[in-house]
Amino acid sequence: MITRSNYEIWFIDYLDGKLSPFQISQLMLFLKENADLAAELEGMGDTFLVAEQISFEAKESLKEIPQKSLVLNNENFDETCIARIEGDLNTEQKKEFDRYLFTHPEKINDYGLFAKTRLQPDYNIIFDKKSSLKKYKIQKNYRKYLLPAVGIAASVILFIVVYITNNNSKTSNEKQLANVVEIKDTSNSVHKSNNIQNSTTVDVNEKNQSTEKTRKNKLYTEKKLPAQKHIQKFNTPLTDTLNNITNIKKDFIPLEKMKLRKSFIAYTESAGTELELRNATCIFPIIKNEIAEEHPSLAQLAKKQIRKIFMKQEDRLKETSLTFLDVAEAAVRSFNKRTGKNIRIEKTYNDEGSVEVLAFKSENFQFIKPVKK
Amino acid sequence: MTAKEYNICVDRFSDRVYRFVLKSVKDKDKAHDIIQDSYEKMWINHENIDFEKSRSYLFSTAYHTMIDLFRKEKKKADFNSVKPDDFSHSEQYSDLNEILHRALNNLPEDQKSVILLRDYEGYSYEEIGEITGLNESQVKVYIYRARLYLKQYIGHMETVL
Repeated sequence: MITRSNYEIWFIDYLDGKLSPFQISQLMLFLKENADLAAELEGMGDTFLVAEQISFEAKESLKEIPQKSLVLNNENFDETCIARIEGDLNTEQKKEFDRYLFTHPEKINDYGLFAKTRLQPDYNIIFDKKSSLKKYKIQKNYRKYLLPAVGIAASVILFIVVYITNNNSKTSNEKQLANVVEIKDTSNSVHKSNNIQNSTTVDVNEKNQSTEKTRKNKLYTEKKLPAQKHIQKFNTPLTDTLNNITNIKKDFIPLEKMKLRKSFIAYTESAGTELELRNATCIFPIIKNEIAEEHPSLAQLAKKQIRKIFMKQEDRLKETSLTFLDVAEAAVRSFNKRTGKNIRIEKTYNDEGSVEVLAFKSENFQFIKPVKK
Repeated sequence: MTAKEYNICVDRFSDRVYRFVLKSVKDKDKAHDIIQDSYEKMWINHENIDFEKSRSYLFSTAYHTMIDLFRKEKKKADFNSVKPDDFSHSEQYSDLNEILHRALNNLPEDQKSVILLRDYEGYSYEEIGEITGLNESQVKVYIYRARLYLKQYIGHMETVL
């Protein structure tokens, strides 16, 4: 039953053609009785939209189908040329392009120019610092032992260098002292004298009866200093030598004064003819030590530093010799410091204070080595 | 990538990246610096880089380092600054490649880089896009404009000569 409260649904159904003939007759009676609602229904028939006949013209461009043959013209010629040299055309398009060029010979030059735009790399240009770019990794296992190994190797090399230079420095010191005396030969008053270079003790009271001893001294000197071929051998009594010590000083050239220490020169000045030979015989060893202390060689300096820094032996800095055991101890100390290990070299002394047995001890193994005398 | 593979990259690609960079910056020292920088960055990240993609990574790093350099030096050319008629031919050229490289110097950096990557290295549009950070369409447009300029340049030169 249609009323004023539900007429909208009846109207929509009527417009949609869903009412039966009986319902339509009921609706018509309702509209006669309600004229205002009849006017409302009258305009509703024009509100239905009708779709326009619009179509999308570029449907083909959206479809994934093989491209059609090219349609070449002046407008797209450049673009097609570039596509051709870039390899963007398919076989059919290439053929179409070639046909176009055949029929338009005036375009061949243009295409030729495009074809020339391909750049060729200059292979003479090379990066010459490749080695600076390269990287090398040290494996962790190797890295663990690298630093200690380098430390030990450095210690061994240092030991060899010190050992060699030590031997050389000994020879050079001896040569230097011999040369100093050789200059003495410029004195006219001294033609013959005993060789006072050796450090053996000679008593002044035995000056005239020491023929045999002098011969022994000469032999000792020759044996000890085989390189001193130019040292003159003197046979005159030692007193003559002592009397001429002052002359020795006077005859020294300045360069040689620099080589002898001042203490020696002062000593010879004060000594005069009453100089006791017992004391005089000690001159050269003293000089030698003074020179060594005040003007140490590179090797001596190195040994001193090794004792001081690596071996912590402040009390033994004046010792000139450096044994293999010293170097080994330094190397082991360095190794322990770097690796945190506790490797020890222990020494056992005999009653005379000499090292008798060496013991090498580490966490994993140990061995004992008797020292040869 | 291992250290060994990294060193292989040095042997294989350093010349090629160097050529690419040198042609772009036109300064040997700067090119050397960029190569050093690129390889240093590669080394820092070498454990995360796939060996197969090392060449692309190198070119990309070098390209961006180069662009940073241009920006710092305020030398980055305006895209529209190059005029096709802006030809300089005061010098004598006997070799086409030489003429082309001369013309190359007149191109904006973007165009120059993509054309170098295309011709020197034979990279695809997609690869060039990955290296330069451009999309494929931009790469195509840059290559098109670069070729068009080069063609006009050498055409003009041939007319003059």
